[in-house]
Amino acid sequence: MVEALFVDCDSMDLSALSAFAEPKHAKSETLISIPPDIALIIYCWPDEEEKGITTVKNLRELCEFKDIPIIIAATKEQEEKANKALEVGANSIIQQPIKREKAFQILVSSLRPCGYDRSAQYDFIDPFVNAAIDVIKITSGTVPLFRDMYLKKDYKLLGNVSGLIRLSGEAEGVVAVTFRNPLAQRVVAEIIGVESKSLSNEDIRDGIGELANIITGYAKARLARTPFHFEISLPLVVEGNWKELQPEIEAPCVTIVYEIDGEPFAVQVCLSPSTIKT
Amino acid sequence: MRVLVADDSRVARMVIRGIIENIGHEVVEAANGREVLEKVEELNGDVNLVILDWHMPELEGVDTLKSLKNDKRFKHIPVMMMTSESEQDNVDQAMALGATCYVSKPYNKEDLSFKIEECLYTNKIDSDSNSDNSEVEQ
Repeated sequence: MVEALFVDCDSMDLSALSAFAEPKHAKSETLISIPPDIALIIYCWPDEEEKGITTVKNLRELCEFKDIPIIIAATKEQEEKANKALEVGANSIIQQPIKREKAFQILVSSLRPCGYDRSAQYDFIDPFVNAAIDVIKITSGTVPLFRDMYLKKDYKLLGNVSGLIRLSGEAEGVVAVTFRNPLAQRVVAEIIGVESKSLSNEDIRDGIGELANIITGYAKARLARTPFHFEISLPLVVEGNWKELQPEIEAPCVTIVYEIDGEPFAVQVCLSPSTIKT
Repeated sequence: MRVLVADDSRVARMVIRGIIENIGHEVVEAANGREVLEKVEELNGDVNLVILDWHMPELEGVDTLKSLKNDKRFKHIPVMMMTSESEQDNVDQAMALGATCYVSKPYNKEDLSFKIEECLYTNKIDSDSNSDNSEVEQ
């Protein structure tokens, strides 16, 4: 049984879901934070499309870098419009009225980590965990704090400005260093040693790309001569909410969340060795 | 003195520019290896230090280093290689190709400042000494 938050679902028949999810109810207009221990959000799609889109964006923002799937419950007639919410923070849509088998299927697929492999090894984690802290400390003088770590359930970027580095060679995958914009601007300004206000959007993008490059290189050096050794690409910067990480292989995605003065950012590492030497 | 800084990241160039200007030297920027070779040519080799990022588009840092060291006109220019991948193989490769020194990212700004000064003044002493010797020979 998982704890699920049902948003604006007072009039909906939830009996099919209640067998699997312990429900808490909330109204979108008054919701200011996601209660702790919530593993899943079910949002009942409204008649007004704009309200639906705005609410999904707000819910994703309130998730604050936690990996909480947002599932939209919509009627068949609403489905086409509800699909747009998949681009702004929702993970999937379930059709109302909800059938038990479908509910179970959606819950299982939403809560399973992406690319999960029982035999996967995660010995690459420590160098990446330390890399972000050390690199930001040395380059900007600010010390990030570790907040959380988990296997992500989808390949979506958590922030709205992200530096991506493709990895190839003995291990393959992708690394993303992902921020929400006010913090991105602050960190880049501190690295350069200027006022935040003086930075252009291009400077912020460039700075986040360079940060991703240095963090990945730092971890790479510490993974030399391990099954997780890789070559790194030039950085690519992706902007916008709820964008795809697009790994070229289905690798498990370890997400490491940090914070600076309470504001989160993350390093998302999807990595799998091409061969594992034992 | 004049330092040519090459990195595809404008932010990286801004940081290094700040460090170099703070110690009283002139900076010329390049965004890739091809621009480095063009600027060195334009300046007739009148550059006291070239700082090269390892990975750059169009022409990688290592290939730019090779081009400079294979050109009689410019092989005397000291080159500092800079990279986010501080593996020993990379260091060995750079030094074997003629790099004067090597800096890993992330760098502490004070340490980089010191290293740049060291490269500049070591090269100045060497080139002053060479010109003294050639005067004596005459």
